[in-house]
Amino acid sequence: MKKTKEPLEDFPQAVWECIRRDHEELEAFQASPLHLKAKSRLREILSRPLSKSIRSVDEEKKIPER
Amino acid sequence: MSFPTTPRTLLGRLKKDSDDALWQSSWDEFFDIYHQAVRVCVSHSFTHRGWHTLSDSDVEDVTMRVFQSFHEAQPTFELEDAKGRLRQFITTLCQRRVVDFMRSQRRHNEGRVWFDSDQYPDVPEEASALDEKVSEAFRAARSALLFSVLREQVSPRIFMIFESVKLHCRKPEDVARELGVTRGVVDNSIHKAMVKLRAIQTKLPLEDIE
Repeated sequence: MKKTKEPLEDFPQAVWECIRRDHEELEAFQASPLHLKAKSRLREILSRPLSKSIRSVDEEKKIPER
Repeated sequence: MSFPTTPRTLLGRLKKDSDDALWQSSWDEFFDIYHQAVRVCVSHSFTHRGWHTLSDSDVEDVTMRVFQSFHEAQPTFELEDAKGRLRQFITTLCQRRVVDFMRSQRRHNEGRVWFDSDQYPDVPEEASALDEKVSEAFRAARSALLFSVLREQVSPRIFMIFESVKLHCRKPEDVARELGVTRGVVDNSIHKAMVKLRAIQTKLPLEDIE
């Protein structure tokens, strides 16, 4: 007979509740028209050649603090 | 055996290579995970500088610019411990793109009455002032990243069982009945997923830990 293992409950219940709530909220956001529209917009943006109008991270590091 | 798939791998896949389909799906996944957090961070950054009445479309424009900046940083960007955390990097991009937007608006509005709370040139670079809402959004993104890695490391059936029971709070016996498996299979699947999740969490790069 195949032996089964008890599920590991290595996160406290409160942590799971928090994870579930976060997960639900994120899933709801991901299904929202705002996200879906933005996703297709991002695809379009990323399909373009790299913009020179946005500084690269290396360049940004050289910006003096004000 | 090495540990080949970590959140770093997802980030690594964001770099452009020969496999366009994989690159696109990785960006889709990254965007699914981080869009909300970036948006909240951008909104907070405006609010923090006294801009409380920004339109949704402006917030979304700046959010897109943040992702565009992240994309443009990919060829040289490496998440090494010495370079700080992913969250901090994204937060810095949010702050910079918000400041860019404010400057552009100021140029546009030169000669007009300006906000008395406009203090945008003095921008704190540290992410320490992030409010609770931003932290929550990044926490949710980090969990999503963890589960995304888990999904790659276990079988689809194990992940589905784990997701049903642990994330959607369904009863194990109901899941077992629905899948036509024994309760033992469900328990074993959750056990495997939890062991793997624990390993992923242990090896998750520090940059993403709160």
